[in-house]
Amino acid sequence: MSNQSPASWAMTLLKWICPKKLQEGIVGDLLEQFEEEITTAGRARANKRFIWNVLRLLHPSILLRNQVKKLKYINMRMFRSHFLVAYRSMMKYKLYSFINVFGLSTGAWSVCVIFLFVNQRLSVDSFHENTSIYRIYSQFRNAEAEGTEYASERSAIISVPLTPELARQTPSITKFTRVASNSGTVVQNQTPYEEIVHFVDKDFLSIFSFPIISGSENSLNNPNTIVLSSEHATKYFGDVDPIGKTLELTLNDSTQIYEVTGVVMNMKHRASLQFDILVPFETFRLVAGNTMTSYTYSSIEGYVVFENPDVLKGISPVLTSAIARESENDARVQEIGIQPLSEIHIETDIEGNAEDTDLQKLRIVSALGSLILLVAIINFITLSTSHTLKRLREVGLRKTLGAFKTQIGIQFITESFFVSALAGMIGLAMAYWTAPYFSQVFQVPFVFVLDSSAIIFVLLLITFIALVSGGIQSILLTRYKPVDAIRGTNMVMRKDSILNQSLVVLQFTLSTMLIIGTLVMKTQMEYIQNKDLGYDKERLLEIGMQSPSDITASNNLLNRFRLELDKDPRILSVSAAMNSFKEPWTRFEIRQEDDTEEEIYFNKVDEKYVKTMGMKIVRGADFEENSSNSTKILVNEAMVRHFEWEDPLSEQIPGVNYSSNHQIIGVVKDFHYGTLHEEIEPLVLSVDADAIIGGVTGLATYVWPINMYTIVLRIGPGDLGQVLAHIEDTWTESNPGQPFVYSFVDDVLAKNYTEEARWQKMIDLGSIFSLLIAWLGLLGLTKLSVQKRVKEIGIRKVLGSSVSGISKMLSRKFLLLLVLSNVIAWPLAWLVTQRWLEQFAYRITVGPLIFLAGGIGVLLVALSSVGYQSFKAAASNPVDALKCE
Amino acid sequence: MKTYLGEFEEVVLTMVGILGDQAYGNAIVKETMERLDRKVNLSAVHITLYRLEDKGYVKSEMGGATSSRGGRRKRYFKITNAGLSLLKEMQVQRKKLWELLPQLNFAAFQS
Repeated sequence: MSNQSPASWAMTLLKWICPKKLQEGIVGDLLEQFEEEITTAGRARANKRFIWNVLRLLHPSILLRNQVKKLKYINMRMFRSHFLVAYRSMMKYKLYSFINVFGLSTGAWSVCVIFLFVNQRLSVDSFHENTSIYRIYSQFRNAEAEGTEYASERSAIISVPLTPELARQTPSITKFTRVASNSGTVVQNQTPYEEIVHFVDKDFLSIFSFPIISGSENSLNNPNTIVLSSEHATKYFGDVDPIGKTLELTLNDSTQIYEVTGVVMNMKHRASLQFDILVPFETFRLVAGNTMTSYTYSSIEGYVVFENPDVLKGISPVLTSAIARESENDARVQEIGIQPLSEIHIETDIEGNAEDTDLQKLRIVSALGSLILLVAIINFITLSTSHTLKRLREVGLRKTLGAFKTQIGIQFITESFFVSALAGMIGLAMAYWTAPYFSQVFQVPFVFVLDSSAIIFVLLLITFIALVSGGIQSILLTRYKPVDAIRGTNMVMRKDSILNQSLVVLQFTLSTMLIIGTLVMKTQMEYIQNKDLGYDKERLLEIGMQSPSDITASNNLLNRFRLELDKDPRILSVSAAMNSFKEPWTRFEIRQEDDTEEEIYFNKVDEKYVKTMGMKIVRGADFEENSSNSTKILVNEAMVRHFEWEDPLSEQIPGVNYSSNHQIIGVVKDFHYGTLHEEIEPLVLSVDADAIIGGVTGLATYVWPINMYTIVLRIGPGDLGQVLAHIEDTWTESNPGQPFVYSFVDDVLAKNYTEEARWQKMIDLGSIFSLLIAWLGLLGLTKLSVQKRVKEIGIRKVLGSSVSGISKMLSRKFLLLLVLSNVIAWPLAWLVTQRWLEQFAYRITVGPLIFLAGGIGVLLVALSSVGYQSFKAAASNPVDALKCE
Repeated sequence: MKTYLGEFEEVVLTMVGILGDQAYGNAIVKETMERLDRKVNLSAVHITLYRLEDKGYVKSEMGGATSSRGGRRKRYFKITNAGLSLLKEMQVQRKKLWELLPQLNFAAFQS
């Protein structure tokens, strides 16, 4: 047979494209020709010709004759009728239509916004054309001591010479660039600007695809060149072409003139790597000093273009030994890995400077949007099913007149489609209008871009809603026999209430969970606001100092400033410190006898720091005046607890080779120098860093070298504006050329919780919307269920039932459902909120009160709709209900 | 409304007329090959036949059972009166036009 018949797929296709009526004649003719040609031209050619003939039949006059005629003459007319019926029934029952359209458009809106947002976050870095860009990360491992296995976090912050060395040893690395950043002062038209400057290698612009507006990929080849982002080009030069112009840039005391050689777009929010000012990497020497050649100081990121990334699998040991040779006898082994650029923005395990997005969070946001949509769809289903039961008669009549089941199905899906398309369009329009507010309120980068994927998403969304709700409706309705349907028996309606009831329970479970979540978050955020931090955060001002490289100069500068301000009675106290509250404090590692590392936080402060901050000394004494060059240090209570010291004042910080000559003179009460997410760790405060730094084996810090970088001011009661102006004047007088960069500590601290505040807002909004939609749904549902029982209520009243008795009877069913949803929601909400709270080391204990409050709140809101409808029905005159017929 | 025929349609219609009772897809392809020495595609012929049927110039019916062609019957086409009169009209019109054309006179070129 196979020898005598053409390719089977061609045959199938042929049968599919041919209209039934013509199929036999056409297939027969083609087969006849095929059989003839087998003898005249051979099987292969016959087959080829047969296939060609089939393809030729893919012609509109054949295809359309087949499929479209049906649509054209039967369905299109019915579709028009369906739309008309849908429109009429929407107009007739305005409340339900409003609830449906409002709920669905809110759902569609939230899903649209969240889809666009998530889509945008996931497409970060996708504009880079080169797909073989990798970021280097490293991990330190303690290889020697078995059992005391120790591995540091993977970190993309690596040492300066590592990247070029890796490139030198690996031929398949074609290009590399290091990326370092530091603050610097740009002076343009006598105005100083405090800026973050990025130091990159010359291949930076050719590796990454940041669009170059002027200049070329080679713009950073020469020393003392500078490339600006388009925003910063406008900031400094206005509309004038900046190419060839010069800028004065001060880095670490060294002021040089740089020539602008390029302007690029920095693709704000679309790149994980953000920058405004680029200078050649060699300039980093001004900042890094002798750490430029050290393998132990990690301060920069490195990116490479790898032709063959597999090579790296074997390179780590090779390189590790190369580094081991270079670095001073470090017992730890450094392991090197690479990470594709496309993963950087969603990877949160590897620590780095790039802006990243937590996938987990995107998932939660998407879930939230879907929940709102789910609640809205449930409304749509429950309302339309109970509502369309009213239309059983219509369905029955249609069936009697000869409508097929599928036709009735199509009718309801068309109607659902009508509503969901309307809702989808309103939702999309709302998404467009609210996009700026969304990005403003939640402080997230977001612009409304309607690209093809978004359009496809919206269409899919509309279709999904229509199919789900329309499908369920039609299944429910077409089940009935026409006779039952026309009779409209009550028995029919009871059957479906199980589905409706469980959907209502689901709806209110979700709403209750969200409300409880909101309450828990609110309580925790209030707790954070009011928690005693161990110091007084009110009216505390921090001024950032561009520190000169030597300590004496910075002390002189500080003293000048302090002397002036001390004259002012409105300023209570002036102090200085190395670390500010804007960043994590410096952390030392001190190796112990058993080869583990003790981590101790450190801040270099002056003698007035403890007093200015309003901290308490619980044991011993504070620093005395003029105690620079002293060995005295303060420790915190956590340190005492950690080392289990009986008498801390006579103890020494333990450590092998730890050589610092120090004397603990006091213990300061625990205060939160980090966020409330973290436990308070051991901390040392010292006036002279030499008292603690000698013999330290590891270091993590935001500010280097050790010096004063922050001035802390305690301001007394009174008008802040005037004091601030006075401080600024004094600052400019005593430090000409340095910008006045200040912040209030309470503002800075609040920033630590912006993430949580943002989430709180989002959950707030989500719970409000879901509750509102569910409430509206319940309103509609009660109204329907009351309407069904109008006669029953009338008869009951005639027979002597009281108004309150009837109201109770009508609300009881819903009350039970609501209680049930509370019972389900509580344990779930407990689990979820506990997980959220776990990120805080200092948190509230969630008592039953919050759950009760949330549950009862939702219950009351829901009862307000149920109760009102029931009462209205119960109070109505039975004559009105019974007189008709 | 006046309907015009394309050239290929005209060929197929004429062949249906010529073949009389025996006009089905394959026969038309063979007849065209034989009489006009022109190779035509079977599928194209089919497409054209249905178009002609839509326009009302041919009508079709199924023939008797066959043992070849996978047991499938043939669809025979027959030219309708409308089709025949259209062909006739086209011939008349062409003839008229031909007569209007100045006949080539080789002698005229010699002077």
